[in-house]
Amino acid sequence: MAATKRFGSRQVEAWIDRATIRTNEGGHGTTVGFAWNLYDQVFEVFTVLVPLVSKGRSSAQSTKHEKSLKDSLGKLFLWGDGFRDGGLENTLETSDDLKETVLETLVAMGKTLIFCKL
Amino acid sequence: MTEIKHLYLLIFLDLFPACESFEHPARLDKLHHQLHELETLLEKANLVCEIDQGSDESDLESDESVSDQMSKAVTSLEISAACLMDLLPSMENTLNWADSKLRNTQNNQAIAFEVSGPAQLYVLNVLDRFPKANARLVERLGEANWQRHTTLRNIEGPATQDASSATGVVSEVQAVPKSIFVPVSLFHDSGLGSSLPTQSSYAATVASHSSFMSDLADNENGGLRVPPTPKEVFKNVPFTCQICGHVLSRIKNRIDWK
Repeated sequence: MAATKRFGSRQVEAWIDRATIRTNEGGHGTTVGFAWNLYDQVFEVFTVLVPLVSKGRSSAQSTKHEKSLKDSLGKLFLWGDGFRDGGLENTLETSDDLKETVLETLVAMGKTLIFCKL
Repeated sequence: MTEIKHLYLLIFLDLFPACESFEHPARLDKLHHQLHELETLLEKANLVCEIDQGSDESDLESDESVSDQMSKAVTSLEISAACLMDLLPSMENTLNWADSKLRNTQNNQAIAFEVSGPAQLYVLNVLDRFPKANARLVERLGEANWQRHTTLRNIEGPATQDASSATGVVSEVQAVPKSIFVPVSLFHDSGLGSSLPTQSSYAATVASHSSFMSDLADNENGGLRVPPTPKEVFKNVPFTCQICGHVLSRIKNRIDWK
């Protein structure tokens, strides 16, 4: 009963704050950071390079490579789509392990694309 | 670093020969620009994550065929994408947790506020009226009352100007039309059937039509009294209400005022 009363009181307080009391607080939120920029650049380069594979070769192995690359590109797009508008930074700032793992993976992809690291 | 770039371009063009068949050189330049930006970001990432890149150059010097290099590159990209997808559930949970934490912080920030100095009087008034009310709720109600008071004060200026202009209009309307007919005597009729407003010859009553009257005893008991009737009411001229800020013209006596 006491908990319900306290909850109701807080609801009223929040309503008063929103309805009448003016505050000077501005909007906040994490902006796009380094991790998202890295992902975005890897994705852009990947998107440009995949069609080149199909243009350059016509063997069976090339077709297999093209399919694999398209699958990887699709996965990369789906992975990043849920972390737009600062979501990736919010997630990685919360967990150092995740940050390290994600950045290392993105760096590995970027190096593969740039240096053709094998 | 320049040598690595040249080497990279040679391998790149070998792996992706279609680049040479670009119809627009501008697109190739754009691709080179994107690759350069990616390279810059990777250098920054090496500084941030302290990733060991010593083995990069040695791998570039290997004597594998282009086909093998292509296969390894494709496999590497495939594994990396799969790794990212495997991380997805954990990342989504972390993001949800971060969002809930952010919401809690916002709620706490909304509750944590200070009562401004002039609002203390209003806070005390609310507290006197509702002694058992929650203290934080009382503070908010007091602050809200004070802010409403200042808002009314701010709009009072234009309202006063409107009142002065309205007074002029009313005086013109209520002016008695001039006539050459002069009555022999003044006749006070009941006003029934006449289009002109008439005034009663009797003084306005002070009796209240309500079932209760406000008196000094109410004030002592904590009750609120109706504010004194403005002088403009007795002069029968429109005036600006100090409480609601509106221009009132139909209030003729204290009963109407109440």
